[in-house]
Amino acid sequence: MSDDLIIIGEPLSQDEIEASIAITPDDIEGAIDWWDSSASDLFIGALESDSV
Amino acid sequence: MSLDQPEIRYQLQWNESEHGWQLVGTGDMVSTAAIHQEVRNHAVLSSTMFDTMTVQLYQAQIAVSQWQNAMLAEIKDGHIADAIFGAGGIGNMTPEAYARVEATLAKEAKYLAEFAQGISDGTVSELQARARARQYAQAMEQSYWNEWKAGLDVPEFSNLPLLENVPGDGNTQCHGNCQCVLLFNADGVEWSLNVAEHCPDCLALASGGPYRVV
Repeated sequence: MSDDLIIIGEPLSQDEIEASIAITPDDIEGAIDWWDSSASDLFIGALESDSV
Repeated sequence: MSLDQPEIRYQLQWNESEHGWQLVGTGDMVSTAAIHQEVRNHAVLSSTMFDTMTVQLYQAQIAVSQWQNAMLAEIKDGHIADAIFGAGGIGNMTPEAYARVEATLAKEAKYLAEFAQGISDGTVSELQARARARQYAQAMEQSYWNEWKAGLDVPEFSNLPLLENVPGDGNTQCHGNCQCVLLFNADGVEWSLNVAEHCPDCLALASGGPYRVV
């Protein structure tokens, strides 16, 4: 490994990590946008579609 | 709905009895291979993002906390989205389903914290870090399978052996590189080998079915 490796800062604290785990309504909306923004045409909107 | 917001017409709907996605227009079921490919396509994009961010980290363009936060955000998006997809849409997501996703996220966040500490300590080379970062994208698929199987409580399967693994859950020797899929038919759930090289664990799982999954 290179001796001049520079990593800036420190990792997140345990509290910061735990705060990021809980799923909120905003997270769900964000995940749906995440899916639709890169889904193949056929699969766009699938997460919000109905069951039969 | 206003005039400038046209009605959204989805092309797919979840078929409860077939436990899979079907085309709205024809009712034809979407193949497991196509589903698997779609989930993989998303993972490939996340993998590219993880790789880029990790290069930036080693070039000192971003701090390790920024890298970790960005990794966690993408991991969270991917696992939630894949879980909803596996459940058959947001209408099928229960509090228990979200709790399962949170448990998976907690596990991934723990591994990521150890990873970040290793990077910070200087014990992980850039090449090692890039390879390891990409695995978090491949592991997203487990949330698809976790919710897909959670909806398969079939009384007729109750005497079958329980399948505890899902593809990509990291419990097989191929870890997140797993290319296998699960198939549901009248006999139970099969662990199916896709076109790829397979690890001994997946070969054993494929020969051990059919299974129950809940």
